[in-house]
Amino acid sequence: MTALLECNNLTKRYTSSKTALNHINISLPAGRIIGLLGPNGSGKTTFLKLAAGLLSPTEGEILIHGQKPGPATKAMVSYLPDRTYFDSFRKVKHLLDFFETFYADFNKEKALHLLNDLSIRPDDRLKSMSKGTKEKMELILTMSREASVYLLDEPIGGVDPAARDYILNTILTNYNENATILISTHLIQDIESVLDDVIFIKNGELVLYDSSENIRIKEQKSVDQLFREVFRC
Amino acid sequence: MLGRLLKHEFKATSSYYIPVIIAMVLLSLMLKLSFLINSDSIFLSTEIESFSNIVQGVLLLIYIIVISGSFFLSIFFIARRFYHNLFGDEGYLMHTLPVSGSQHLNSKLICSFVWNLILIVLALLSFFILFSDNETFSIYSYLISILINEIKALEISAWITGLFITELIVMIPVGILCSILTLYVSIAIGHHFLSSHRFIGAVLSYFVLSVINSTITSTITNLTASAYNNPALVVNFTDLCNLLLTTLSVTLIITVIEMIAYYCITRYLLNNKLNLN
Repeated sequence: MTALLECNNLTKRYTSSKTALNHINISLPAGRIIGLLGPNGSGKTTFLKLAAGLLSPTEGEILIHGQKPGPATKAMVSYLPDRTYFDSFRKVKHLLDFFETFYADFNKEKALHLLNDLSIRPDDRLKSMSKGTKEKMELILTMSREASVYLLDEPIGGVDPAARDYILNTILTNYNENATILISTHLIQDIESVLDDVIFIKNGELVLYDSSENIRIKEQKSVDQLFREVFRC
Repeated sequence: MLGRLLKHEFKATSSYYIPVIIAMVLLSLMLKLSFLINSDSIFLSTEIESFSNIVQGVLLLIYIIVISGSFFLSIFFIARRFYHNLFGDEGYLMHTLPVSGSQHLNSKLICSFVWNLILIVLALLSFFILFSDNETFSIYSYLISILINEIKALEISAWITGLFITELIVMIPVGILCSILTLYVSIAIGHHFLSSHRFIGAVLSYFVLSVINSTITSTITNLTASAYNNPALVVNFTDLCNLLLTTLSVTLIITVIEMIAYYCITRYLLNNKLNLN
């Protein structure tokens, strides 16, 4: 099975003293929901940004379908950052048009349908939305693309438990079996039931990569419990 | 994809430029109207006449402020758009598009260039229409015909004259592109080399590049001046024309080199050294 996402000695150094990722070697297959788990500052966001092509590696490489991040990979990677990114768009419909124009795999009907579930109308002004609504909207836009790789950075971070359930449900029901979803989070309990595989990352290094089932069988613990042990302060 | 980027870019920047253009056109019309009223009318009273003069004066002042202000603000707007859209939070959206860094650069460069060319042409047209009427028009024609006759009389080749005029005209778009690219390369350099203090880095780069540019310009001017004062080099009017042409050509070539260098550096940094905060 050819790897969907592959890292060879992937290293990212911000300054001589700050190494965000340290020689990561990993190979992720298609068709899995993978949790990228680690404490704050462990390198999760850096990893996702490298895969999305927003950062350049200091050493090593990251490959998506065997290619370095560029316009070709960006056409098949759908990235949800951990911040809002639509300053200059006035209304929801402008953002929808933008996605439709630039992403060939964007399913506008699906997006409109999902937005409608949340009572978000195309004519709504983005500035007047609450933080939670904005995050849900961004997730809907990201998941409405029929991509090969979904990179979700803390998709459930700043929202209430009911919204979290909605988000996880959205991710699951809109999931294409041939795609891979990489979700970074530190709210493991909520997401554990959804994950096929987990990656533990600590101080920029790969600590564990296994299926959640194996963890439950081998360690006789839930992923959340294992996490608390591995990352004990 | 570049076409779609351009369309998006034009739409996004039109919210600044369209109002500015409308303001320029309206003010020019109002000022022209005011000139016409003031020059021809028989006023009912001296109070109305002085009021009309005051209105003209105020309009003229506003006109000057708007024209010069819009160019100055345009520089600021171009820099802000480039920085904010490609290196700010919106960069998270722009750089995940299936579009290369080169395409982003090209779309922004073309868009800024077109808007600013429009502004310059409109400003020139506006000046011309405002400050000329039948009388001044015939003065312009007269002066131009004298100049043409002089050039013919001194047997300055048509080639030199043509080249001079062409270079003067070419200098306008080249100058605009070079100014825009100086801003862009400064922002890209600030982003890459001083990633913790990007804004300061950009300002510093811009300052350094401007100083280098001024130094080169003043060196050329000095060389020209000393050549002009050298009796061995400049013997007659033809020599003077050749000297002026050489100066202009050298300036043009240097500007073009700067433009290409800044473009290549910006493109390289955008394509290969992107590190969004």
